[in-house]
Amino acid sequence: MQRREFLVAGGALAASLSLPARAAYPDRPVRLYIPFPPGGESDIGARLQQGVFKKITGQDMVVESKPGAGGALAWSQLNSMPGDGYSVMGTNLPHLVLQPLEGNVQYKTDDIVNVHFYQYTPDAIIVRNESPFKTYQDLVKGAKEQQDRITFAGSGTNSANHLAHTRLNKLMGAKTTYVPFKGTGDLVASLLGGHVSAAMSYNTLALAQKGKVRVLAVASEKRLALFPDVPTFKELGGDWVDGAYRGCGVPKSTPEDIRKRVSDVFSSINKDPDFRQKMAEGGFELIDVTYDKIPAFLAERKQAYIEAAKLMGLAK
Amino acid sequence: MELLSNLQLGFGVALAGTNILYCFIGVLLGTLIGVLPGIGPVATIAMLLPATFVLPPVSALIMLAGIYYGASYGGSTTAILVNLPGEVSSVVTCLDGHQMAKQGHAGKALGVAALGSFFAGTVATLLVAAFAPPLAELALKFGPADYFSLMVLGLLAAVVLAHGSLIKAVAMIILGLLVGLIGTDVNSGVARYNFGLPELIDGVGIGPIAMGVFGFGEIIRNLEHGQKREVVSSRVTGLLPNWEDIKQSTWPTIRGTLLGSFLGILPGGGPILGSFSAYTLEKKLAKDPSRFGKGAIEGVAAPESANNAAAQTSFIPLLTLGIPSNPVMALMIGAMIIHGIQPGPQIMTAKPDLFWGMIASMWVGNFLLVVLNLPLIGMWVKLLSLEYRFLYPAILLFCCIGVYSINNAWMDVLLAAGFGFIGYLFGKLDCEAAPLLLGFVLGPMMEENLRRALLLSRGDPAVFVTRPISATLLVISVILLVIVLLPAIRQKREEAFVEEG
Amino acid sequence: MKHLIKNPRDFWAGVMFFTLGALFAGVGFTYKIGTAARMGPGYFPLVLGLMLAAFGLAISLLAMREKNAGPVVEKFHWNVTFWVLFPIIIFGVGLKIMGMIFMGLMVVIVSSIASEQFKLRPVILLAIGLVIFCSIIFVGGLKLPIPLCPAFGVFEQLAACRV
Repeated sequence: MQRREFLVAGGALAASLSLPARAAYPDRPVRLYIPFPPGGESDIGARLQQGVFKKITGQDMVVESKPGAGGALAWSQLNSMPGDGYSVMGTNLPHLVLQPLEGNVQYKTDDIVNVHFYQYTPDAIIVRNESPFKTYQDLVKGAKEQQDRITFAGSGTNSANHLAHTRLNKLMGAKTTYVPFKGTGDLVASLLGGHVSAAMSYNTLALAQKGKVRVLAVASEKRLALFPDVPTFKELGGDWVDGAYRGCGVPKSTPEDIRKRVSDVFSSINKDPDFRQKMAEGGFELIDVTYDKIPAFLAERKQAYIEAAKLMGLAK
Repeated sequence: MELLSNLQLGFGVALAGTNILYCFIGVLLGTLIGVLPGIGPVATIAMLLPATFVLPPVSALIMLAGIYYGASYGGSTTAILVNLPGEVSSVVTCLDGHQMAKQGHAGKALGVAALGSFFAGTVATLLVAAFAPPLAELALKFGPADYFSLMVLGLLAAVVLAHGSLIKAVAMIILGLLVGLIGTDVNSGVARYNFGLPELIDGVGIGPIAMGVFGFGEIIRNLEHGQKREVVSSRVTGLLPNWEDIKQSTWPTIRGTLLGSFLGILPGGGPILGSFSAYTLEKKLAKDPSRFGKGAIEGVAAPESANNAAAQTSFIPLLTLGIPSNPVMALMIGAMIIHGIQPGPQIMTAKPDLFWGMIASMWVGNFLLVVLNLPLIGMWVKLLSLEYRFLYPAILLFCCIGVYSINNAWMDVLLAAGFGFIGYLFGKLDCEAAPLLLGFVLGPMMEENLRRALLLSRGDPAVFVTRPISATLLVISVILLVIVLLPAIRQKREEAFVEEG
Repeated sequence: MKHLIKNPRDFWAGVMFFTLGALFAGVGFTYKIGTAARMGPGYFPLVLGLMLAAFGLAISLLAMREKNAGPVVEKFHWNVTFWVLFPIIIFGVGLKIMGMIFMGLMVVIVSSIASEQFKLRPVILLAIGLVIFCSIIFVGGLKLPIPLCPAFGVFEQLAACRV
C-alpha cells in the first residue's frame, strides 16, 4: 500500500519535473469552467488552484464561471467543447449522479469524463450555540420525540444536503423536516436566528461560523483536524462517509494522454504546501483520486448515492 | 471611548499610503463599471480577484469593497444621464433623475446624488462602526414569516412608484412577480416556465430585464420620433445644485439615509428595498406628489442616499456574522478565504485592523468618490451634448457586452433583446416598468419565504400574525394601503376632469 | 369597436395583462398545486396568474366604460425596432464563434441604420473606436472572459487573439 502511494506520488513528481521538457501541454492558457457562481466553494477552490497552476506549468489557468441549473447547464455543454485539454470543467459529486436521476437535465452521468477528484467537504450537522442539542445523542432523542417539529435547513432540493438529510432521518429513525434554501449563505441567518433547529450542511459552514455554532457530527473517514472533538458518523454507528466532492472533467473527445496530463497537473497542485495550508484553513479536505482510480471511485460513490436516492423517492 | 480608539486604529490602516491608493483604485474602477451599463460588480470583482493575490489582505479587501460601493455610485450616473439603471438599486433614480436631465438639470441631479450619497455614506459608516453587532443581532430576528410580511409591505410601497394609473401599476407588479417565478422552485426543485430551455432553469436575470425594458426600449422610443427632437436638452442650466436645491434635498437625504441604513442590514433586497421605500416615503410626504416622476429633486436625493447607505450597512451581516447578504458579499467571503482570512463573527476580535480598517476605508472611499465625481459632472453633462446617433450605438454595444458578462451566457443577450421589445410595447400602452422590476426582484423572495414559513409552522398561517415583527409589518402594510387608496380614488375623479380640460 | 373603446391604451394593456395572466395560470395548472398550507410549485403562479388575468379584464372593462376618450396607441415603428434589436440578437448568437471585434463592429454599424441621419463613414470610425475601447477596458483591463477573435482558422494562430 505504502509502496503504491509512493509510486503514484513519485510519478506525479516526475511528471511535474519533466514538464518544461515536454512542452506539448499546456503551451497556452487553460480555461477552467466552474459551473457555479463566483464566491462559492467550487469557485474559491479553483481560484486557489490558479496560482499554483501557473507555478507548476508556467501557463495561466483562466477561471470562467458558467453558473446555471445547479451546474447542469455547464455540464450539458461540456462535450461540445474542443477536446484539446484547454477546456477543463469543474465537476461535482453527488450532483453528477443525482441530477440525471431526477430528470430535467440534458446530460447523463456517464457522459461526463472525470479526470481527477481533488477535494471534498464532509457533510456535517450544525446547530447554533443556544440550541438545546448538545450532542448528536440529544438530537436523536429530540427528533424521536418531536418528529417533524425538528427542522433542518439545507441548500437546495434533491441536492447533496437533501440527500444527507434523508440518510440522517433513516439513521435516527425519525421523520424530521427538511427546509430547502437557495444556497448555504442563505440558510446561515435562519440557523443563527434560531428559525430552524439545525443545518444539514458541510464542515465549511461550521468553520465560517466558528464560535457561534456547534458541530454535532461529521461524515468524514476520520475526525477532522479543525474539529477534533466532533465525532464522525462512523463512530456513532452509521456507515456514512460522504460530502461534496470536487474534481474536474474534460470533453469526451479529449485523448487519453491529455486526460492523464490534466490529472497529473491537478495532482501536483494538491501537493503544493502553501496551497495545502490555505485549503485546510478553508475547511477543504484534500483527496487525490487520479485518472486511473476514477472508475472504481465513481462506481463506489454511485452505488451509495443511488441507495440514498431510493430513500428520497428519486430513483427506483 | 472604545469607539474612538477603534476608529483611530481603522483610519490608521485606511489612510496608510498604499491602502488609500488601493481604495482609490477600487472606487475608480467601481465608478467605471457602474457607469458602463450592464457590467456589474460581481463579474468585475470575480475577474479581478486573482490580481489581488499579490496584495496584502487588508489592501485587497479595501479595494474590492471600493469596487462595490463605487459601482452603486456610478450606476446612478447612467440612470440619470441615459435612463439606464446600471445597478438594480438605481432603477428608482431613473424615474426623476432622467426627467431632470431631460429638462437640462442633469448637473443638478448628479450633484444632489453625489452629495446625498456622501452624506449617507458618512452616516452609515458611523452606524456600522458604532452599532454593527447589535444591528446584526436585530437582522437575525427576522424569520421567514417576517421576511414575507416585509415583502408584502415592499410591494405595496411599489405601487406608489407609478405616477400614472394605479390599477395598471398593480398589474405590472403582479406580472413582475410572475416573471420572477420563472426557473427552479426552491421548495420542490421543479423547473417552472422554462419551456425546456436549460438556460432558464435559474430564471431570468435582473440584468437582461433592466437593460431590455429600460435601455433598449428607451432607445427605440427615442429613435422613432426622429433625431430632430432633442433627447436630452443640451441647454444645461446650473451645473451644480444651488442652495435652494440643497435645502430642498436635506430632509429627503436624511430620511433616505435612515431607511436605507436599516434595510441594508437585512440579507436579501437591502439596497433596492431601501431606495424605493425612500422614494415612496418622499412622494407620500410631499405637498405636491404629482411632481414626482417629472423631475422632482427629492426623487433623486432620497433613493440615492438610501441606496448608498444600504450599500454600506450591507457589510454589517458580512463583517459581524459572516452572512453574505447579496452576491457581491458572497464574493467578498470568497476573497477573504483566498487571502487566508476566515470570515465570520471572530473577525472583529481576531483581525481588528482588518475590521476597522475596512470600515474606515468606506468613509475614505466615499470621500474619494465625491472628490472624484463632482469635477466629473461637467464631463458627463458634456457627454449628453454628443449627437444621439453616435451615443445610442455605443450604449447598445456596452449593454451587449455587459449583459453577456454577467453569466457569460449568450442566452442573456437574447433575453435582453426580447425584453427590449416588451419594454417598447409597455411604452406604447402607458405601462410603467419600475413596478414590474420591483415585483420581479421581490417575487421569488416572497414565495420562498411564504412557503418556508408555512413549512416551519407546519401549515399554520397564524404565524404571520403571532410573530411580533411580522404582525407589525402587516399592520403598517394595511395603513399604507389605506393611505395609497384614499387619495387615488379621489384623484381618479379629479384627473378625469383635468384631462378633459 | 372604435367608439366602444374610449381609452385604447388602457384597453390593450388590459388585453395584454389578461393574456399573460391566463398563460401563466394555464401553465401553472400543469404543476402540482397543493393546498394553501402545503403549497406545491403551481400554487403561487396559479393564484398570481388568475389575479393578473382578473386585473387585465378589469382594466379593459374600465377602458370601455370611461367617459372621456383617452390617448390612442401610437403606431409601431417596426423598422427602428428591427435595426436596434436585430444586431443585439446576432451579437448574442455569434459572440462565441465570431469574437467581440467583429460582433462589436457589427452592432455599432447595423444599429446605426436605425437613425434617420445614418452616414456610413463616421459610423465606421465610431465602431472602430468603440471596439478598441471595449477591447482595452473589458478584455485587457477587467479581464472579462470574452473572446476577441473568431474561434477558427488563421485567428487561432495570432498571438493577440489568445486570451
